[in-house]
Amino acid sequence: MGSDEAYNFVFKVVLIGESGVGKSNLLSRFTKNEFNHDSRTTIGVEFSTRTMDLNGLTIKAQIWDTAGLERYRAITSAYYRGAVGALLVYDISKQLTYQSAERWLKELYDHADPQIVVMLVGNKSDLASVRSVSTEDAKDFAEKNGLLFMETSALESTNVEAAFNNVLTEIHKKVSSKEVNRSSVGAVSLSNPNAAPAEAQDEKKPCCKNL
Amino acid sequence: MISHYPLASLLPWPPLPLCLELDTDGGVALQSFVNNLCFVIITLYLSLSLSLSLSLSRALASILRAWLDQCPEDFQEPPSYPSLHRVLGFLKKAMPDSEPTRKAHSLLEQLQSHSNGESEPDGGFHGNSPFCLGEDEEVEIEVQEDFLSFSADLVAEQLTYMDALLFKKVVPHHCLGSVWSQRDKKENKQAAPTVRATITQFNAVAGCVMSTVLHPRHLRPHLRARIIQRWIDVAQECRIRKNFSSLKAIVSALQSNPIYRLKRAWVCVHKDSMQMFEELSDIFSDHNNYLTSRELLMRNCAKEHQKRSQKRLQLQKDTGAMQGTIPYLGTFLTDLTMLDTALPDLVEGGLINFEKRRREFEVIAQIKLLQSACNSYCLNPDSAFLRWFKNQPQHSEEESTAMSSPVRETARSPPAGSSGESMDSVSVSSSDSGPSDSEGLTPTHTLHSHLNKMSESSSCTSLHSMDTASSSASGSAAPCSHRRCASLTPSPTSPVSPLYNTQTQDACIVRVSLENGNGNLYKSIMLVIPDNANVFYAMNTSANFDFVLRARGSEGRPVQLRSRCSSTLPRTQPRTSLSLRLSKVTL
Repeated sequence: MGSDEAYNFVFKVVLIGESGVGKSNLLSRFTKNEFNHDSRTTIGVEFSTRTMDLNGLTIKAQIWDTAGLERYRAITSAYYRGAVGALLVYDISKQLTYQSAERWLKELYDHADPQIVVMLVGNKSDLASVRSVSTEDAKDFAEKNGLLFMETSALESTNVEAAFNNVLTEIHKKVSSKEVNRSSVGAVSLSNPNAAPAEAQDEKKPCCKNL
Repeated sequence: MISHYPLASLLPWPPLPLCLELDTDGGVALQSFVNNLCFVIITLYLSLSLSLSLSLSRALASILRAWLDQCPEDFQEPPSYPSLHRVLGFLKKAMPDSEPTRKAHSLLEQLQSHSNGESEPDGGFHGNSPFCLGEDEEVEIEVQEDFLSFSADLVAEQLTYMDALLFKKVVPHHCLGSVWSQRDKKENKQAAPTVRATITQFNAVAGCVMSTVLHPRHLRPHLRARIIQRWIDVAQECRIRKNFSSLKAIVSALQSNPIYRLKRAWVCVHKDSMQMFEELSDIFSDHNNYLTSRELLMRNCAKEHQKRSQKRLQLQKDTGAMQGTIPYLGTFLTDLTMLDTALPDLVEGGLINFEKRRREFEVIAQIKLLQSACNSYCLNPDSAFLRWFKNQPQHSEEESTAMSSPVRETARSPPAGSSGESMDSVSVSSSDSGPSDSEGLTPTHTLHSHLNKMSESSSCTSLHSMDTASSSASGSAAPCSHRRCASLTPSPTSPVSPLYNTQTQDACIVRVSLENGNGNLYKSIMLVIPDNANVFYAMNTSANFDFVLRARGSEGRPVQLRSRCSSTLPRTQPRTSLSLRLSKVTL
């Protein structure tokens, strides 16, 4: 799978949240079907994309996970830049991971497009017996902040598809209502439909630096 | 469980930290696992050698040897070192005076003496660095060195020097997902110090870029642009040295929001630099799972491996161009983390998932290959630079953002990779503020080097053509065909000086002369007012725009004419120490 395939849109979606809440597991669950297909990369694995159909359109979901990179401070900006969706993940059995959601939200809005679609995801719903974050609280928080909300279990594969699907559908709604221009790479920006992305600006004005 | 597999399947892989098969829930399980595995191997060896399967028993011995060799920390079981004692006891009996026996023996001594000493620090070149320069650093209090006083070449070389040292020290299997992704757990706070050290250094480089660009708060945009340009040059030098770690750090820092949004500074960055920056950024494009950087990395590595012939090695050492490759470790860390997440440790029936180990080993093997290639670097520390680097303040993201606030124009600037139009006109006109700013005028790298080459080579024919003060550019140069409207080609038919200092629509020809009077060059500049500019940028049509090129006197390092061209990227002309100075400009 990869770039050879035709698609209508590329949506970049980032995974954020404290370490240990299962972000990589969610991603691995979601992209699993394409796990073994990419033979071009060195390790023979394409972890991060999945192509899917949405209302007759082919969407390439490009999911970004910080897996192993959290300590590289300077790459934060690049991580968020261009993202049109985000899953803010916490662990329902660990109150602290939920309490940090606000901080993550701030970091997200500091770096990403203000129109970004965000879903609050309570992961590890299989650990309901040791739950420390109530569904109602999280739901309230999500509503107040205009976030989608869902509880998932990457372990049992509960709601993982649904969570990503909802986010992608919501992005698509926003995009189609705005008639966003597609650039050459098919990436989309929600807030600035008229500004062509950098990659599209191939034409360079001749200038006097050419001696 | 191992015996369920044909033994042969064990052999292609060194027993990478098999101890990590277990969920790391503490040292006890880990120790007993190592111990048990030793027991299994030894037992197998004994039974196989009884049945005279010599090749198999030899293979087992080689596994033990590789284990001792490559993962000595598995045997770190103070105070009694039971596993190592078990192995040692076995080796002494089974193959006395053999190499593995000696190895095990010295390992035991090493571990025992080490346990009395201190543990390895987690450091980069900041703070309690493991690479202290050993000088009486604080004694001489120098004037704060200026970043621009270090050549791009030197900076890249020194960054590479530091990165190479740290990368060679990385314990490859510490990058494994099962180790690295668990680093934030309480009991693993000190895990993988060698990996952390490379990241600390990466962050220090990025932080250094940030502080040099942002720190002087009220710097003029074109001066800030010079610093940005210098970093782009450093990044390019890193690319040439195949130092992808610092390259990535610099590119990331320049793309980070605090710097990214310095719109006015970016507009002043020369187009050549912007193009170079775009090319360098493309290396780390996320397209196709970072295919570009992966391919580049391994192509380099393979190439490096091919040319290991002694003669070549010596040749390259002589020319000083020998080099290795330093990867951006993050890509490997992600791959290994994802492999660890996606593939279970055990397959059905509780058997070891060898497919997972095989894939992990492929990545580890790449790291090892690159590490060995790293020995090819011949670099020496430059204490002045290292001291300066170490003393660079490290700011948090918030601080950096705050620092870039006063100088920013709008919150969201155009992407750094986009080509800023009419940059030249901006940087030219911004030099109005007087002679002290004259070094800020750097829109003409190619001009520098062309002129420099000419002035150095007396046999250069085009120099003669310049002596006759005949440039073919004329006032008729239409803006639409602006490219190359100043030309160095001789035009004997028109001995008249071009019509300069006259504004034709949105262009103007200026005259640039060399200080020693070796000739004039006529150069057209665009006078397009950027959207975000005010009338400040408009050029006075009656002004006299004469530029003089002078050799810069205070260059710290002698200019090296390098013949090295190992980069696969198109190189720009070597930089020279000439700086373009503005002599008479009035607005």
